[in-house]
Amino acid sequence: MASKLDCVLEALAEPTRREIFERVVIRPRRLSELVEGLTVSRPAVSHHVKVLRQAGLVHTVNDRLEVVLDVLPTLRTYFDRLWLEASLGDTWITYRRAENNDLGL
Amino acid sequence: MSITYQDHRPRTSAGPRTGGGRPHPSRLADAAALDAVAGLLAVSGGEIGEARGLLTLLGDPLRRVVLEQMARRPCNTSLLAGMTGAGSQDISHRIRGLAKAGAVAPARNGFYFADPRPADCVRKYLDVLLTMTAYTQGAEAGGE
Repeated sequence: MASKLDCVLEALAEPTRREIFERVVIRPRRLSELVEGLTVSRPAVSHHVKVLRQAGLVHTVNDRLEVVLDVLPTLRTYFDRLWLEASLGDTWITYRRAENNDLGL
Repeated sequence: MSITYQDHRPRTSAGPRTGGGRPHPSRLADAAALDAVAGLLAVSGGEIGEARGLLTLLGDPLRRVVLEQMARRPCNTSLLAGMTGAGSQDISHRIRGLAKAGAVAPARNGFYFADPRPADCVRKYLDVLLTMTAYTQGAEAGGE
C-alpha cells in the first residue's frame, strides 16, 4: 500500500542514493560518469539508480540520466503543506501557552 | 591581448575558463555548483544539512505519518496508535527518533508537536535543486 510519495521519500532517505540524485540534478550524466568520484561500487550505484528510477525521480534521456522535472514541485508542495501546518500548530501552542500560563500547555 | 582573442571564440560548456569573475556553474565541481546556487538563494549549509537530516528520517512511512499528525495538532502515543492502528511501542519508538532529531518538540503530558523549521529547510533545499534543474534541464524541456 506504499503510495507514490512513500516511494519518493524512501528513495531520498538513503544518504548515498540522495547524493546520486543530487549529482543528476546538478548535471544530467551517464551512469559511467555518475560512478566517478563516488566511494561506492558500480553495482551499488546501479542499484540506487534503479530505486530512483522506480520512484519516478530520474529517467534516461539520450543515454543520460535526468531528473523527472515534475517530481520536485510535487515534493515541494508536500513540504509546503507540512511546514504551514506545523507553523500554524506552533503558533497555536505559543498562543495557548501565553493565554493559559498556569496550565503550562 | 589574449583576452580579446578568447572572447571571440565560440563558448563551449566544457572549455577552460580564461576570464576573471564568477565561474560559470557548468565549470564548477558538483559540490561547488550546489553551494553556488544555495548561496544565490540565501540558503545556508546548515539549512541544507537539516533538510537532509529530515529526509533521512522520512524514509520510514510510519515516522512520516507521525510527523504529519503532529504538524496538525499535538499528539501522544495512544492518540497516534488509535489513528494509525500501529502498536504503541512502534509509535513511541518513532516519536523518540523524531524528538532526538529535533523534528518534534514536547508540549506536556507526553504530547508532542512538529517543529516547522526542518520542513522549511527541506522547502529551501528543494528550491536549490529545482533552480539547479531549471538551469541544467530547462532549455531542453522548453525546446520539446
